[in-house]
Formats: sequence, structure tokens, C-alpha cells
Amino acid sequence: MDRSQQPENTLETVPDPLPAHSTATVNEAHRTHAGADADTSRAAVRLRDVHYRVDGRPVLRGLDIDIGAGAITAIMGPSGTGKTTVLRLITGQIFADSGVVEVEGRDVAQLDRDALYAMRRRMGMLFQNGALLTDLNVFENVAFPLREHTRLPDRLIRTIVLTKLHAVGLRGAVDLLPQQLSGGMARRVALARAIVMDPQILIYDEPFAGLDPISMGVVMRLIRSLNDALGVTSIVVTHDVQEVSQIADACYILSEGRVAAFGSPVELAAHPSPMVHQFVAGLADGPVPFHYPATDYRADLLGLTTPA
Amino acid sequence: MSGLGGELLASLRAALERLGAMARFSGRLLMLTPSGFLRFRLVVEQIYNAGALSLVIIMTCGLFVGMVLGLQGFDLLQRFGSEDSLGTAAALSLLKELGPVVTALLFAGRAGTALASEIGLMRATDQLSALEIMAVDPMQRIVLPRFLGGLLSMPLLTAIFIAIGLFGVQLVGVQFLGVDQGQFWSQMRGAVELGDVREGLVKGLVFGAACSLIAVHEGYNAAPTAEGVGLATTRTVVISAVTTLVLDYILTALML
Amino acid sequence: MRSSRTIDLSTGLFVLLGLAAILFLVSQITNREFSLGTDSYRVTAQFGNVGGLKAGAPVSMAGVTIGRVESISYDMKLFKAVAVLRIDKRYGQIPNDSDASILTAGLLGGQYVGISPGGSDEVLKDGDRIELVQDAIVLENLISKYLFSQADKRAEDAGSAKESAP
Repeated sequence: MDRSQQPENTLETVPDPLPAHSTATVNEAHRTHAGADADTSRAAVRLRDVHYRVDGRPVLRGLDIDIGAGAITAIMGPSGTGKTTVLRLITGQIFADSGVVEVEGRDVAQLDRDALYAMRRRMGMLFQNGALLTDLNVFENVAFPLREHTRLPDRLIRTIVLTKLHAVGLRGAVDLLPQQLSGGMARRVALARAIVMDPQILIYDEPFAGLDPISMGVVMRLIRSLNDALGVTSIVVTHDVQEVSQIADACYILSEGRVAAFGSPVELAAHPSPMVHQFVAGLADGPVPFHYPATDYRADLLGLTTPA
Repeated sequence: MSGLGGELLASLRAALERLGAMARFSGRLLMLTPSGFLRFRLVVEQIYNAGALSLVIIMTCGLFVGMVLGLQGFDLLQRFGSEDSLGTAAALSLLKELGPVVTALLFAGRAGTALASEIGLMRATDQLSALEIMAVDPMQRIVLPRFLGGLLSMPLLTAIFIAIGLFGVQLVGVQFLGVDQGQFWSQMRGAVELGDVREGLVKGLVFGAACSLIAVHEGYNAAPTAEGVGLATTRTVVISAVTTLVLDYILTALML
Repeated sequence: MRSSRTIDLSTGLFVLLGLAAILFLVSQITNREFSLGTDSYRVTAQFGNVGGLKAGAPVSMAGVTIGRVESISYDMKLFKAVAVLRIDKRYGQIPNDSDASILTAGLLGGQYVGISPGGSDEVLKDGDRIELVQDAIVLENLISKYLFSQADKRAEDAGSAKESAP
């Protein structure tokens, strides 16, 4: 986007925390964030001692998470640690076996159907693959929540939809079908849809997965600028450490169903724990071993061990 | 030996659980049905999806089933010198059994699989989850219109199948094999009653409900993977076929 | 997805086709000759054996359907089968000495009640009973009758042959 153009909405007046050739260190980015307030006393989402099992296997064992209002919080961890489970607990799609999940001060498990739906209307979620409805075009996809939940006239719906699409840079793609969009574009349309009802909480499930560097940069920038411009709480579940470190205010690293580490990206980069270090630095071997448990190598090669 | 018994017990238990889950699913769907007609546009689209798009296969198969019935019926009746009763025999068998059952099986194969795979794919690409998060009930928005579309289409498809089938019988019997046209229709009129037509249409409706329900249920509960969708499609056809035939017996026994 | 206009059109055509098919089936192939109007009256008839007569079977005179068998039951005091016949009011001049027989349509057809008119001036009214009846022909009885008559005849012939022997 050409910054010398007259901005058409407030999003473009937000100082760009990620200048074009970003060599910004994590420190600098951290300091220039507006609303970089991981103030947990105003936690928008709170998980306390949450336990959850799948088919008898424990996925979460006593998880404690505080998501500060108005900030970007990242939830990271190796694959299979239950990151997506946490998201589904927050949206009330599943319920914890024990422990409390609170959103804006209310226990999700206690909400009845109507209250749950009301709560969800204040959330926007971006799925890994966009999850656009395949039989609607881009415009109708973004307009979908408006059509379902409001009685706004078509003129107004059109204005809102075009505004949101412009914010993600895809106003020109209104007539395309989801099948005609690239992965990055689909994700951006899904983002426009997620913000169309001006939610309080934005949830991103693996927003960087499978994107080329340019698209990744676009998504990063959008997450940050939307968070600041709209004053929302953003939760990003990902394992792209490099990307999310540039925009997150606070990070959780989960391991084995519990919080292994918490802090700002800077703090985590210097974290003493070997597990965190392995994760953050992307080392092949460490607390998470390279070798799948096996018998002695030499014995196996020489045929001295019988196959299991 | 106990291993086999244990496995049998386990699979029996799993089948019962599935049946229970399906019953709850159906209950939920039935309760939502009145609201389904408020969004009639969606139902219309699904009638198109399940009904209008199945027309070609139904009409083609109806014609050929009718023609075969004409051939076989003529051959059989000729041995007793009663070829003139071809109309009666064909009409009754089409109306009461062949029509509803064959239509249901074809429906399960064409429309049922389409429904199951559509919904299953939505499940696999998180569209159903997205709808939930957007505070839209996917049962109401996606599942119910498809169920109603299938349900309303089936009796119509059955009637069309039977009508075309009769035309096929007539084509073979009267035009090709020389059965007297007047006898053909008058004998039929004399023997076929309104109750028989009602029987056929009721069966069509019931089979439609069953097959549509099975299709949307399998799709909705498909595992969110490519294999899951494929499995859901296969299961739809198999379970629909068995259920149709079992229901056929029950309905026939009840209505006779 | 096709335009919604196409969908509407196709769906409309499909529904029209379906309804037309139903209409065809209902009107063209069913027995339109007789449907019981609301104006009908009931008479009864008592049979020694109703054979295969079922409720809903037609009641006819000279081959024309004038009514239906409403119900068949067994009277434990009379030890007879009682059939209730519902006859259309249009045919309200049936002489009360007519007889009701249980006949079979065709060789293997269903059974029905045929009424042959008598000569009386009085007519059957609602609730009357048809006195003259003919039971259904039961094949086994027919065969055994025939066999017995054959046996009798042979006995007679044998007897007369003996007598005429010198």
C-alpha cells in the first residue's frame, strides 16, 4: 500500500510497526507497540487449572493462562500439545473436564445456548484454511455474519463489507469464489469476515501456516494493525516462532499439557529452560529428542536384536 | 474364543452408541424443522440439489425398469394366457414395491452421496466450526435445508419413476409385444386402487426421510479428513440401502 | 453455483413434473368407477360361509358396482357370518326379496357380493337384512360332493348290475 495516498480509513493512519524492509529487532518492535499492555489484571480470557482428556489420554493437565485485554498473546508449543484444544475451550466448542475457562469474566461452561452464541458474536476467529463457505463469493462470505445476525439494509452491508475488505487489501476481489483465491488471499478474506462484526476478541489458528514470505508479512502486519486500531484482544496460536515474536506482546509456550514458559518474546529468547530454548531456537535435538525411542543402534544393525 | 465374543460385544455396543447418537441427531433435526421453512430459499436450493439434479437418472432408470417389467411380465403372463393383465401386474408392482424401493436406492446413490460428501467436506475444511464460531447453528443453516430438500424430493421422484415406468411397460407391452392397448389400461384401472397409490407415495416419503437423514448424519459426523469424507459417502449408500429394504418390509406389513 | 434464477426455474419444473406424475397416477390408473358418496345406506346379509370375501370388496348388481362390503363378522348366537353392505343411495330401489350371492371375479379373482333383484314392490331400507343368500362356493366341498356322488353312482350301478344278473 502506498503510504503517500490519502488514507481512506483509520487503519492506515496507525504508524506501521513493521517498516518495509524490516530489520527491526524484537526489542524495537516491542517498544513501539501501541496498546502493548499484557496487563493480566484486565484479563480478557482466563484459564485456570484446566484439565482435558481425549479418549482417556490427557491433553491438558492443569493449564493456567491469562490473556491480557487489548494485547496480542501468542500460544505456542510443539505439535499436538493441545493448542487448538485451548482455542476450542475458549470458544465453547468443547468443555473442560475440570477447571475454569473464563471469557470476559464469565465461565464459558455455565453459559446456556443463547448466551454462548451471544458471546461468540463478540469473537472473530480465523481458521487455518480460511474456512470460507464454498458456495458463496467473497462479498457474500464477508457479509455472512451481518446477514445472519443483523437486519441492516443492503446499502449499509455493502459499505461495511467493502471497508473490511479494503482493510485487508482485497476490495477488488469481491466477486471471486473461494476456489479462485490463493491460500493467502483466502486467509485475508476470512480475516475480513472475522472482523466484520467488530469483535472484542480475535482468535487466529495457525495464521502463518503454509504461506509464502510476502503473504506471511501481510498477515503479520494485519494482525498487529488490526489489534491496535480496533483495540481488540488477539490470541494467536502458532508454532512460527520467528513470525509471531515480531508482533506478540506476550507468549505462552505449552508443553505436555501445561505452561512451560511465559513472557515477552525477548524474555523467552533468553529463557534458561532447555526445552524453551530448543523450541525458540528450533534445535533438532534437546528435551524433545531427535530419535524416536529405539533399541541399541549397533545391536540392531548387526541383527543381534529381534524385531519388536 | 472370548476374544471374539468380546469383539462382538464391543462392536454391538458401538453400534448401539451410534444408533443413540443418530436418534438424538434426528430429534434435534425434527425439532428444528418448523424453522426450516422460514428460510425457504435454502430449502428450494436443496430441492434442486437433491431432486432436480436426480431427474435424469431417475427417469432413465424408470424407463428401463418399466421396459424390463413389460418384457418379463408379458413372458410370465403368457404362460397362463393372461397377457391382458400386464397392465395390472406392472402397475401394482411398480406402485407398491419397485417404484419406491428402486427410487430410494438410486436416490441414496446419487443425492445421498452428494449430501454426505458436501457436509463432510464442510466438516473437513472447518466450515461447520466457522459457522459455530460465527454463532450460526450449522444444523439449522446447512443440515436442515438439505434434509428437507431430500425429504420433499423423494415422493416426487418416486411418482415420476412410476409414471415413466408405466410408460416403459406400455411401450414394450403394447407397441412391441402386441398387448391390446384398451385391455392394458382398463384392466389396470379395474384393479388398481387409490390405496395402492397412497401406499407407494407413503413409502416414497418414508424412504426419503430415512435416506436423507442417514446422508446428512453421516456427513455431519464424518472424520475431518479426506478418508473420513470418503468413508461417510460409502456408509451412506450401504446404510441407506439396508434401511430402505428393512423399512420396506415393515411398511408393507403395516399397510397390507 | 448456478444463478438463483436457473435454480428456481429448474426446481419449479421439477416440482411441477412430480406433481403431474402424482396426478397422473391418481387419476389415470385407479378405479374411478366407484367411490362411495356420503349418501349411502347399510343392509346386512348372513352367510353360512363367506369364503374369501373381504371387507372393501365390491357389491354389484348385473356387474355394476353399487356399493362395498363394509365389514364381516361372526355372530356367536346365529353361528353365521354377518356381512354389512354399504350401498349408494342412488341405488335405493332394491326389492327386499333380492338375493345376495358371493361370487368370484374371473377364474382366480377376488370375491364379491352379487345381488340379483327379486320381484317385490317393497325396497330395502337402511338396516334391512337380505333374506335370500347364497354362500361362497368352497372348492373342497365341491370336490367331495362330486366324489361322493360318483361313489353313490357306482354303488347304484353295481347294485343294479347284480340285480340284473341272472
